[in-house]
Amino acid sequence: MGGIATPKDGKRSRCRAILIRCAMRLSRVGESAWLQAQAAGVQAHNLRQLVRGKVYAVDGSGLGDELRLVALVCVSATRPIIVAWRVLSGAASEKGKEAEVTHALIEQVLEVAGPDAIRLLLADALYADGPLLAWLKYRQGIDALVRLPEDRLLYQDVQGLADAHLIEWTHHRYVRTVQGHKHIREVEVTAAGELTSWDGTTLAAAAAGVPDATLWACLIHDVTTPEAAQELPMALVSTRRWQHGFAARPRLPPSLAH
Amino acid sequence: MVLLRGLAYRPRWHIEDDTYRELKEGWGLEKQHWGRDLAAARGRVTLTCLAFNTAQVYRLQAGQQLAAVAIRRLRRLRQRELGNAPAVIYLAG
Repeated sequence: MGGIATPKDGKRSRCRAILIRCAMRLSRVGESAWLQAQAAGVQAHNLRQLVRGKVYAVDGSGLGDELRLVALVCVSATRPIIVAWRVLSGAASEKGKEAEVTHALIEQVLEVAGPDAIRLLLADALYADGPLLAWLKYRQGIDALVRLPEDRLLYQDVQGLADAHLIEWTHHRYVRTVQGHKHIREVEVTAAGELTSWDGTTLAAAAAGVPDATLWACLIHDVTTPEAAQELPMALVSTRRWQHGFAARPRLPPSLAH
Repeated sequence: MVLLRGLAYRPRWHIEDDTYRELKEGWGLEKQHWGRDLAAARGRVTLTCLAFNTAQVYRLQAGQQLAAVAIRRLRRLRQRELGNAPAVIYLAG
């Protein structure tokens, strides 16, 4: 791919030449070359300290019917930076398969940016994968804050604790801005720690040498309007304990604004 | 620290609003694959993500300071680190 440019007059030039003959057709370039380009590009930003902060998010999105892009993004600063990505096709691109790719993305970033580069990983419900959370926490030292699907036993446990008044709901009002307009939002929040009812995480943690691993989870119930209050509370689960559920609350997308 | 200010999960929306939406609607990643096979898609995505990152970096304060430096001064500043500017040669066929 590299060499020394030789002009027509035969004099040897001092400048480096980058031959990109093999890139005449993108399909001829192998996956490893693109991975190399990916790592080199991101490393250049890291070296200049342009990737700042230790909060990251992982998510996937379809590119048409057959392809899916999974990306790990640094979301600490105001401008997100994509630090690792994979394009998946076929069965690998099905929703829910992305947790498997997350290992490779995380390892790639830690290799380039150092073992302490990521402190917190945020993800949606597709990544609510017990072994993944245990691997992040106990193998890589990364905490996770992940949306918990309503059909999980852990969700029902927290809901049961709240229904039995073993944990308390607290009411919060705050202002959020949607497209320049301020809205008051009201939520009720409850949280519980020391939860052990997610076997996928506790078993994987035990295998990693942590027999007493526990999780923290919270329920966030939007009660801004009677219609919103009819919906099931959303839940978040984390490998670290937060001060209270309100500390972990999400921002709802504008499309869900009431 | 964001974690302690009570907004822990909120930054996740950066990946939906400011990353995927931008890549698809701004950079045409979904409509223009540059080819039908996976290898071409990988190339397209890699080049686009690197370009996206570069654009993002230039919008940061640090990037704006860099952008304010004219190209000749920038070359002088970076030459020792990067060497002479390479010649990029395309060979057809």
